[in-house]
Amino acid sequence: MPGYSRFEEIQEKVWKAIVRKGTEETSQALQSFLKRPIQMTSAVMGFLPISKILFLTGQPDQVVTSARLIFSGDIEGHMFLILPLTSWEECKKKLLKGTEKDQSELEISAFAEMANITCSFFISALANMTGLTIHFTPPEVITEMAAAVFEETLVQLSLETQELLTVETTFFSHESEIKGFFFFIPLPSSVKVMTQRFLEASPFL
Amino acid sequence: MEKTVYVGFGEYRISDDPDEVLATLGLGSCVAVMFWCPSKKIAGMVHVMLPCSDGSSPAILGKYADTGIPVLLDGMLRLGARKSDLIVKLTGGAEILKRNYPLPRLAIGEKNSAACEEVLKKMRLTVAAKDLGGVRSRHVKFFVKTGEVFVKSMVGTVSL
Repeated sequence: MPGYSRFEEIQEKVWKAIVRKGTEETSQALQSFLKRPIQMTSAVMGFLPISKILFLTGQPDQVVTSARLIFSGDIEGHMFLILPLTSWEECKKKLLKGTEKDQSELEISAFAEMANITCSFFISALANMTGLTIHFTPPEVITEMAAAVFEETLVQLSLETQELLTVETTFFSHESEIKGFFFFIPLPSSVKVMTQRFLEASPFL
Repeated sequence: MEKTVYVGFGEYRISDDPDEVLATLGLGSCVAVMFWCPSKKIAGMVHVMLPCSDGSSPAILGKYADTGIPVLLDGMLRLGARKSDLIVKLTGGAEILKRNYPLPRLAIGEKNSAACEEVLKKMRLTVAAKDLGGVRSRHVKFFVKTGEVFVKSMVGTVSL
């Protein structure tokens, strides 16, 4: 991902540890939800100007299904689970097998559940490592062009900052045509809180 | 040869290069305000994110309707465009989450659209064409050479 900058060494060390644990838990959760082996790539993270975030999935005009969850408590920010439409179709075959034809509400609900599981495992791992209290909203699911799913988040967060820490993980299944993205975007003030709390909890890192 | 120049969140761009295409991606609640001067073949686009700056000086001038549109006009005039010639087009201002979540939300798209139209009215600029509102996001391409605007959404492409 182009455009990353200014990620201080200590923050990088801390965040790598946090994200490694978070993605391990998340990939296990997804694996059990989708009932197939899921691999997650090592997370790519760094500070990005908000205008670059539209390009995070690589193809801004690709149609994707996305869920956004807003977290709050000791830290604040947004999380996204994003699947290209073809991948979501593949997941649906398994998740909605044998259901009625009109599936729109059911599909939204199934995607929301997948996002809930993915994000809650990530947040739990993070909370366990730092002792922070973190809550999140129910997922907002939308099928849209990839660039558009970030817009509302960026409009809101741009009131506080022009640059955001972005943690990106790609997951895929060798068994079937599934590929997706998980993004964790905390507010800059929350990055400091998390780094500090993690260092207190793991002083020998 | 066609050169696409992306106008990001809160940014604005003015061009007299006939090969350039001003473009913006993932326009949901934001509004793209476009000016074209046919006599000088100058085009300008601003990507407005929010309705009003409330008198503060934003770091990114294009971010608000009340700061972004005047700065776009000023830049156009500096490059030689004539205000009386300007063709004004608008698109964006959607509420994409309303599709699945019909409960009342902040309605930023609606407020952005209204604010842009209000600022243009105050500046005595008439809107020639617009494609505002709805529940789908838009990708926009604005051709400097011709002033044509193509708006793509998940349901197809319209020209303004």
